[in-house]
Amino acid sequence: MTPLLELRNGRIGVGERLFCQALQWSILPGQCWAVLGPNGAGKTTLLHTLAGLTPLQAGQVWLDNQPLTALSRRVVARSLGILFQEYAYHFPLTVLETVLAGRHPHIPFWSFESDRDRALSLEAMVETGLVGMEERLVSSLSGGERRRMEAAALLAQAPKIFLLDEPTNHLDLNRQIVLLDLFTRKVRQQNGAMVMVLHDLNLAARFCDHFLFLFGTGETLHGTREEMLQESLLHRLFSHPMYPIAHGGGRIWVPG
Amino acid sequence: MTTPDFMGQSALRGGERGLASVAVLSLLLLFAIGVFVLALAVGGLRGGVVDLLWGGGDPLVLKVVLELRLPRALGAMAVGGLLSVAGVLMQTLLRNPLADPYILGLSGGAACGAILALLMGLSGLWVEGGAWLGALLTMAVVFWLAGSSTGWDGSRLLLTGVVVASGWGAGVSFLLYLVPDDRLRGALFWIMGDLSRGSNPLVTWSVLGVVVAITWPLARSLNLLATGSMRAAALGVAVGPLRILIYLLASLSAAAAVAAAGSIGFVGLVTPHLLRLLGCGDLRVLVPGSVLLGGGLLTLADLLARSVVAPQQMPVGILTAMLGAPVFLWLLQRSSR
Repeated sequence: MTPLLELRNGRIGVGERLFCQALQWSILPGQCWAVLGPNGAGKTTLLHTLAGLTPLQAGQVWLDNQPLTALSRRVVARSLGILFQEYAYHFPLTVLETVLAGRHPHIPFWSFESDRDRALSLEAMVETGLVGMEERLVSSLSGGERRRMEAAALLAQAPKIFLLDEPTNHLDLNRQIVLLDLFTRKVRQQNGAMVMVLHDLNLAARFCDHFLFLFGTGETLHGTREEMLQESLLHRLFSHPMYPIAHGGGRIWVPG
Repeated sequence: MTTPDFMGQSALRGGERGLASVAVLSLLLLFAIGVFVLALAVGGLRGGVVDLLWGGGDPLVLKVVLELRLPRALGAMAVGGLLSVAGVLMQTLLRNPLADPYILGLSGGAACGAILALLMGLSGLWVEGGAWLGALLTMAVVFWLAGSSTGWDGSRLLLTGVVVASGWGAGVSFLLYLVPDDRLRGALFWIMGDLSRGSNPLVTWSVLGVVVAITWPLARSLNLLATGSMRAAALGVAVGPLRILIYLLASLSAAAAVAAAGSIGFVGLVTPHLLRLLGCGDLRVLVPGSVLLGGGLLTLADLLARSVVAPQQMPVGILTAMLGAPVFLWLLQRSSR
């Protein structure tokens, strides 16, 4: 199977700090990856690099068997979308305008948004529970509502690969699960892929079948959930002991 | 610098947004045309203007309208449009609602160039050429300084421009100190902003045409750029080239406006915000809308500047700030309730 997204011989770092080197990482169709690691280990930088927004120190990102740098941003944006950790809003915008902006890579240069773009945006708003908020100003939303709007914009963009940077920030417990459920369902439906940065190990274990650990020293490990979720590895990753508790046929991880 | 929430309390909402945009633009067009006609009709030489329409009338009135009022109204319209579009673009580029056309130091550079030309005993087109030279020099210096290392993040560009601007400010003060008394009035022109000098409207209109023609089709991408470079890039915008293009277009607009009329304050800052208050935050409406509104407002202000103290003429820059500040504050108060 050809990977949807691939890091070949990737070396990523900022200034003196090295996050990974010579990393070979293939993201295959249908896979959901969680990227775990301590603060400052380079999780966000890794996501930005996969999206082609930050240059690599060495190596290449390949998207659909082509080097990402050889593709236009527009082509990239049609198959790969990213939910950033934080957004800034400098000018007044409505919720619908923000969600509709997700359609940008699909709209021809000389055109306005079509009825289809509008329908897809409204559908994304239904899926994220934002019905009735179309004309609200972004500045009037709560943190959780804003996060769902950002997720809706990504859903409207409808890429094959979702890169999610702490998608559950500001969301209540129920909404966290509903949102991640939504994204994993999309991945399965379209045989796409997802890579997310998450701090909640149990949420990650619930929704992701593959894990990549960034230790913050340049060392990385990746593999399936079963290979990766082990006491000794997690202890080393978080510099804190983690214990599994059996629960309903699965395991819950608690910090010691 | 945080964004105040006030700016979006718009009156226009709902699914009829597209229609509302067309309505707003049509109204603005009517406003601009109305003001333009008024500017041709009103002046020290009263009466007889209507007769001209029927082919009759006093040849002296015809001469005044065609040779004095028409070029001046055309100039005011273009300069107002240039300042407003430059304001929109600077605010978008720097992602800062407080940005105005002069924020990156163009007006200071232009003033220095012009006053230096005056000091050298030059006059007329040479002085305007000096202003162009100063503005373009500033544009190049800021571009080079801000782009050299970190590849153009917004705050670095802003900081570079603001520091260059304050440097020019000191330069202007120094040159004013050197300027002999008999040329002081001509030098002050560049600081206050005045449309009475009668610059060739062909230049300003050409620049305005080029800038709007390039900017308007890019407006949807610019909407995204205003929300952040990373987000814009993630949604398929080629951010690097676009930012450079917008920097060049905004600077060119501001340079053309300053070279023609000195640094007229307030129009470029406030016009975009007035439209945002009306709910026209989308750059596809904001760009043409601010050209019409800014052009109309400046023409109106210039009409007042040459009428209220007639036969004296007040530099229009004084009036734009004197009227603009209270009007904007009033709107702000009203909208935040």
